[in-house]
Amino acid sequence: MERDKFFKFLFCLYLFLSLSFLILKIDPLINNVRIFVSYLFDPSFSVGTINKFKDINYKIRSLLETEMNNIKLQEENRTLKARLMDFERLERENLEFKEILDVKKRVGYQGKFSKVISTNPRKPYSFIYIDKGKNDGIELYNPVVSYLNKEWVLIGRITEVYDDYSKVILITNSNFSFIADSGKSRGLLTGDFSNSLNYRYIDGEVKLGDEVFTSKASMTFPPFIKIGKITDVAFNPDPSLIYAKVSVFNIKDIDLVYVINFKPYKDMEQDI
Amino acid sequence: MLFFHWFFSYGVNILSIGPDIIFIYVFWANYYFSPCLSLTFSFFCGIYADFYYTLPFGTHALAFSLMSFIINSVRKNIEIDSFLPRIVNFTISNYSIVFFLIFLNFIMTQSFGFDFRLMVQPILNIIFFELFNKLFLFVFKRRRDYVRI
Repeated sequence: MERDKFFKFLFCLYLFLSLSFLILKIDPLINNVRIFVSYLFDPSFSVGTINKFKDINYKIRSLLETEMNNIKLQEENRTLKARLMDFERLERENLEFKEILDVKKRVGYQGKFSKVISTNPRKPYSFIYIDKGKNDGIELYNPVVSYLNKEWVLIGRITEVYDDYSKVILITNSNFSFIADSGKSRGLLTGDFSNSLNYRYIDGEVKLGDEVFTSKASMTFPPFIKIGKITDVAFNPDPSLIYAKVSVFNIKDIDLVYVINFKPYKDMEQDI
Repeated sequence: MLFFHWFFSYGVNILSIGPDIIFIYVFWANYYFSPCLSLTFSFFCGIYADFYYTLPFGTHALAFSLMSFIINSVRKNIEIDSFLPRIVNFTISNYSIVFFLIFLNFIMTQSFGFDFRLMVQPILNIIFFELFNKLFLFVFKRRRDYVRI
């Protein structure tokens, strides 16, 4: 009777355990155990099976060494990935420089490349600071251009020069104005602290899409440097009141600039 | 058992199937050992089989425990010392286990992994069971108890 009870207890226990295994679904863990055991023992039977037991120590050691190597390699992989990202950035920069150097040959002006080191966060279209100054040959009133969308565009003029850095007044600054030409017109461009300029006092015809360049009539900049494109024209019966909007650079794209070695008032100073 | 299972599972291969040595052991133990011992043996053999086969873990443990319980409940009324009843009994038990495992696997994984070789395996098992029966009886020198009439 007691044995019967114990037998039934055992049966219930084993039934409970089996069902627990089934419900808990521990197969992933079991698979890992299977893989580990089969790696250690090599379950296929052969005459040399007994010799395989000698390899268990070696296999455990190699397993641990593999894990350690794996950790090392993962770390190395992370470092290499970080360095690769750096290399990719350098490659991109290098390509940009190459492109700029190619284009520089076409500019026809001597000058110096410089990096933007600071902008005005409150009025980004007013001034920028560049990392070249008097010691690098930068002079007051030198025009500053930048290479955007595969062409050189005018962005401003040196307004203050220090030993190692300079301040550039942007053409979008409202205190700045200069004469510019489009295909069939000439007028005065003034800034309004945004990425567009006002084209006023227009002499001639303007139409949407016309490109605007620095003028031969201007003493401020050398001629034929691209400024932007006409995006809006406000017609008026009185021709003197016609004005247009000229879309120019986006300040976020300005990183590397080229300071042209051009001093507009040089001849005048000599005359004086 | 581990040695025989290891040896025969990989050494013997007829029509790409081998004998189910674990089942043969479980079946034999349930007729010749005490109920508690045979039940425990069946359960742990089931665990071993679960490690060995790819069915959901616990399937064999459950199947062998149930089989052990059923055999231990009726074994005193079943004649197993004669050849023919033994073969019939073994075959029925083996097919029952095979169908139970297929059914349980279907419930657990929703995939009906039926293989016709499973229908042939019990016939191969019979041959090995007879060989092992002779060997076990010789080694363990066991005699079965029947119900006294």
